[in-house]
Amino acid sequence: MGKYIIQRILGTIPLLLLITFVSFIIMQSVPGGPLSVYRNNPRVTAKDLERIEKQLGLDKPLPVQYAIWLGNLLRGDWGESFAASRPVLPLVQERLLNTFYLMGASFLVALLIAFPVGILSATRQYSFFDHLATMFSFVGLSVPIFWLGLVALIVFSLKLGWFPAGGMRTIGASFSVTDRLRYLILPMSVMALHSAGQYSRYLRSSMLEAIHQDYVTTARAKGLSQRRVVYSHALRNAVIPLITIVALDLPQLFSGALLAETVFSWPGMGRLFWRSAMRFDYPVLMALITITAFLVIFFNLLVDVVYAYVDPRIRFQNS
Amino acid sequence: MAQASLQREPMALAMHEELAPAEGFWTRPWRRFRRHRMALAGSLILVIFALGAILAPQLSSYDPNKQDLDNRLAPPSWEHPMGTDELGRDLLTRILHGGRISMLIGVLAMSVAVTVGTLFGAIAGFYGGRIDRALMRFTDVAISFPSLFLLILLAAYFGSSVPTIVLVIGLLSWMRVARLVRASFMSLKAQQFVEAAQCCGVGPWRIIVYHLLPNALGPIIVAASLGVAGAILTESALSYLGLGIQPPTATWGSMLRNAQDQMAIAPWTAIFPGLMIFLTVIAINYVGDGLRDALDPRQLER
Repeated sequence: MGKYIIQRILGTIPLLLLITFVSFIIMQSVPGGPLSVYRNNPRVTAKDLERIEKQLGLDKPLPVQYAIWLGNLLRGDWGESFAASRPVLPLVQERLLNTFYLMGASFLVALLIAFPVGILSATRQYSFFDHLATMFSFVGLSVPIFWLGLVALIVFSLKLGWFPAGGMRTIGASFSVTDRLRYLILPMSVMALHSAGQYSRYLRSSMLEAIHQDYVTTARAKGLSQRRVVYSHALRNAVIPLITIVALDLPQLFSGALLAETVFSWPGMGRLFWRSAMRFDYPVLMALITITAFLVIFFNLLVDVVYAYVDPRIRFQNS
Repeated sequence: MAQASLQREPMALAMHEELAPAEGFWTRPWRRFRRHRMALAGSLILVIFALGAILAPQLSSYDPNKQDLDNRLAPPSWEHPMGTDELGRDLLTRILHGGRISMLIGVLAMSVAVTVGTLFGAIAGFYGGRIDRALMRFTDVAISFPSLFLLILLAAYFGSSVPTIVLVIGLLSWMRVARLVRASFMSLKAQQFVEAAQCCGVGPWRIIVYHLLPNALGPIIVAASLGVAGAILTESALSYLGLGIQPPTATWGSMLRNAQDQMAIAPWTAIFPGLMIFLTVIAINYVGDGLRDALDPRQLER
């Protein structure tokens, strides 16, 4: 087991290097180069540009620049934001936590919806409830997150006045759980609806597959109750494929968070990324890309390890 | 008599296959597709929307970009069935015209994605070994990145004309197709008809194009239909973020861009364009589901 994990960890390093290198190349191939912000500024002379270029090491060949950037990154020097004129790391850290808070909450809610819906529609295949659940998952899959957010804002915030129209907490008020929840509920529900539709659909089909396996028939033949058969025999095995789907879905979750953050003015990293892209603030962009790539790869790794733990076949195959 | 039993039992169908009169390649998939009611409804919606987009100039006497500042943010009425936007432009007209661009981008971006994905998947699946590992590693990298982030970056840097947006969306969404094609090529190439072709001295490209590809067409068509839905959603998200097709040209996404500022006084500007995106995407998804049932009978029992 230990050997397998170490193998997998070593395998992710080239992946991370590749992703950051590709993003680095994209940044450098911006029309006008990474200094295009300064280039458009009439007060910056050609001489200044040259000086800045030398200062930032932009006159060196690309692979060397990348190596320098990587070295600084590892030493904790993530550069300074062009737009905010402050170090990137603390700026990004704060936004990242806000995004995690939103993503984590909506992920939990999505699972809380998906499990009962998926199990019920599998055990009552082709019932009215099953058809309703199928429709629900198609809606979740097809609705644009930002539009659902807009409609939710119009209905629940503007017309009914139940929730605030955006932000993360009441500015100036001291911390309170109810205040946080009031701001959280709309963006969280919008994101959760989107994921829950997909998760419940996958759970339904893997449950159906599990229910028709021989060991489930055996369990039934032994006279176990429907409850025990479904929950302790079928569900356990049906959850395994769901783990993979959830891990593969993580990049989508980040994209969804970006849109939800934009609609609900949530001070997260997706919104920061969007604004930085508009301002060509490339130290921030590089930092966010690196962190996101790292997180996605880390979670994939985690899932592989969990997978190996719950499914012994994988462990033996690889050792 | 034989005809009647054919229709009742799918099992009997397989057994009588040799006896049944010759039927075209599409006859049986079409029969299965027709049984999927939501897919039929979806196709109908898509045909109506497509006709609306094609006939936009004939259906509406308004100019989609003509401003009418006396009639700003007018609520829905007989003259303006969906109301007007912040510059007094007729919303219905803009939705009809916007549909042209949104759907065009969806179809074109999907074509790019399917072409690239099929090429990658075919090469990886057919050759296997080191080529397969390298290509799949690359696919893993591409799939494990939140594509909206890269899209924003590329759209911000390289501008947002229709060809750029099509290329950018297409080149960032080929990965699923590649995996699908690779998987079906790997199982197909182990079959005897490929071996037979190889024995006859047929070259690898000929085998890929004439022997393997037609057999892998089912999953590709399904993936392509879902790809259109994905591309329309992506384009609308980009336009909503202000990085898609630039004003005054209408797309469903870009119409939502300003909607948030005025949704308190003119909610219709936020509701109708998004409703179009939603209806189109859900219709395509249902059609894709119907196609899956029709073209991939193994999935039928689920």
